[in-house]
Amino acid sequence: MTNSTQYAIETSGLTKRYGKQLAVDNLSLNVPKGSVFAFLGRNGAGKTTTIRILLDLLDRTSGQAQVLGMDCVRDALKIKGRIGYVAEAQKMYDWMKVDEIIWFCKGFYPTWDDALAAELKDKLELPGSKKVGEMSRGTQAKLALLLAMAYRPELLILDEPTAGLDVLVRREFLEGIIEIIQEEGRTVFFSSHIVHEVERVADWVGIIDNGKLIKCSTIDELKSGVRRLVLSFDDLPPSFASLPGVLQVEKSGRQAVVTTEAFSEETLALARKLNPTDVAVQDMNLEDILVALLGGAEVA
Amino acid sequence: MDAFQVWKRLLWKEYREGRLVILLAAAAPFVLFPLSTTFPVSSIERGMLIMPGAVGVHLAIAFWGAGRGGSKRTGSEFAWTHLPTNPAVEWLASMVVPTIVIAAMGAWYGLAAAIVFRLMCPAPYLPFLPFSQIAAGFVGIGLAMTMPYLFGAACSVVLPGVVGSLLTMLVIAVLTGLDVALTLMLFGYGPDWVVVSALSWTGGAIVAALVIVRFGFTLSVAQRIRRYAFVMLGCVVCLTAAVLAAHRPTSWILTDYAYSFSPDLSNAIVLTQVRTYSIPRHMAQTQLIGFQSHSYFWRTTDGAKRDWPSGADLTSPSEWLNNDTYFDIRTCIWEHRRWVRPTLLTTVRLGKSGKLEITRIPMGYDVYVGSSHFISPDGKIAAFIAPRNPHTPGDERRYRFFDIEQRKWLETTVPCASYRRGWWQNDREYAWLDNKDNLHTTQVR
Repeated sequence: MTNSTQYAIETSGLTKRYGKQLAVDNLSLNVPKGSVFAFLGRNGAGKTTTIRILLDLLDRTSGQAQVLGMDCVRDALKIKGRIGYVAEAQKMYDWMKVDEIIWFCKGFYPTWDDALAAELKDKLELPGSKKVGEMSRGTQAKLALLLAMAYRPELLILDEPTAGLDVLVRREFLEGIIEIIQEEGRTVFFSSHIVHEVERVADWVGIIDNGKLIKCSTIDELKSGVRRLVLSFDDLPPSFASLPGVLQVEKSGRQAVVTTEAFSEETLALARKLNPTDVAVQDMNLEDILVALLGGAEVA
Repeated sequence: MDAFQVWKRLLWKEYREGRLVILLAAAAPFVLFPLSTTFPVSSIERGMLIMPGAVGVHLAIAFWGAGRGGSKRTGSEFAWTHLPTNPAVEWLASMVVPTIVIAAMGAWYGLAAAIVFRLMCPAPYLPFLPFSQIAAGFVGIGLAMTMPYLFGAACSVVLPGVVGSLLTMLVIAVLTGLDVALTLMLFGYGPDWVVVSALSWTGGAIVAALVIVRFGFTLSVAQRIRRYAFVMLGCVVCLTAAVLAAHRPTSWILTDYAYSFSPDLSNAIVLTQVRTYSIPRHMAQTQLIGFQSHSYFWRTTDGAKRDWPSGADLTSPSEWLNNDTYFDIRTCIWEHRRWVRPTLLTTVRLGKSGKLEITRIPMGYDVYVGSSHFISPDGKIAAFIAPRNPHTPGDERRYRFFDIEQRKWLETTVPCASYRRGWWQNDREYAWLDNKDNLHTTQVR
């Protein structure tokens, strides 16, 4: 492990096995402090399993995991006191009213900030006298966010926090996070499979597939590295084996679209050596990149 | 983190989640009350009828606790997955509230039964109802309720859910077996009713288990409580209806009792059940209208209105002295050992005004009546069997004679042979046989 003060989350060779099935496969992940880190992958890729291991809700099979520089098993309680956690379809106490659950949670955190809780309640438009069970899923998600943030955690872990919410509520929820995070400069680690929304919020991204981490970088690095080359030829397109980091190749007549994850001027120079009549470099959005990376991984 | 604040919130949560069950548990004694009013706090006999219900209630809650233990392990509990508190603390808090409730419920049940008994107890019985007995019942029933729950809670730690409940059942079965063995060994009861008692206890627990396993186990605490509440509500309604139905006001003559009828058949001792639970005893004027085989056909001619509260006691030998005086020996059943059983001599006379004249004379703890014919023909002296030395129980016994009018023991005593009973030759002379069947007579006064 490297200097733990650099990273909010740090795993090394983390593995979780259910019988013969590998849910998390030798995962080494570093989440820089102060980042908004999106943990992406298909359903069942191992995102939730990883998060539950980090929170000591699941035992790991092997490997190491540290959260805020502490061992996730040995220091689980200390960690829980310093992080906020919002799970997918967060289960809370249906019978409690909003004000009651706020009072209930407050007692567990010495750093609980009443003013912040009130501000969040106001900002998120939470009805204090309404029972949790009577609220919509969107409002429940907002309440979960309040409960996870009111004690100013150093790290916020969100596991598919917007799953099942409609578009407007999702946007409202994520904007709520952005606003608060930008003010506080804290670390957010969140998993999602709704990629286009992640792009608006995150500055780091980690992509997991079949339990393996296949990419981990800043979004800017990822976007500058993964590009799409549109090449036109006089004849049928040649092989692109000489190009580095090819993820996908789509050929259509005399045209080929090559997606590479190692784009640079050198890549462009190598492409031109294939004598195309025309070369165009296209930026890709995060969703397209994810599809290319995951598709590529499948091919590989 | 302030531990007080944490505990305060966890206990508040447990109370709020379980208050429906708590209310039902607290209400249980009211359902069981109808049966409780004529049994002393420490009585085992009546406990055969009453305790299975109570066992059902607290075992049900034990299973509920076991189910809760299971749900916590699935991670469905917000506190466990989110809050920075030790799961052991959270589990403990979840166990504390029901434990207090069960213990309080048991104590409340014991106390309530004691209060009712105290209120219903005729004045002459009060010396037999010392505070220590009430306290013993209070603590005893509280513990009896609490211990199975704690076993259930402990089992839920080892094996949550249904398996934990089955383990609880096993523990209860083992404890019941031990109870039976100890009772047989220490108190010398015949196996029949002890086994019946044990079976009724276990049966109550099994019924509760079946109900709870069927309806109680879901991962959702709220859903479980809702289901459980309906089951309990059904039990409360059905039990109450059953108790009310079973205790309809009625009256009958216990024809099995040798001395239910006066010698000329003009009077009888009638058991009348009134209200929903108490069974006062009455003396009624009767008219015998027929006799066939072992059955009497009779009717009361005065409506059996003369109340003779019997209190909590066992009926011992009784006899009619003449047509209007009935002698009855009662023994309180606080203690089951023969020589420490308090005894009460009761006489009931139908006065000329038509009212009952009742006298009750506490006889102390170290006498009992061996058979009928214990009253002298003139009704003035009663013959009791007493140990030669009250502090060394055994077969060395003697007859002692009590002057009912003077309310004092006479000096005369007569040896009491095994399996032989004496009889009054006349108002002054008592006859008895020794072990070699030699007849003896003794002038009592």
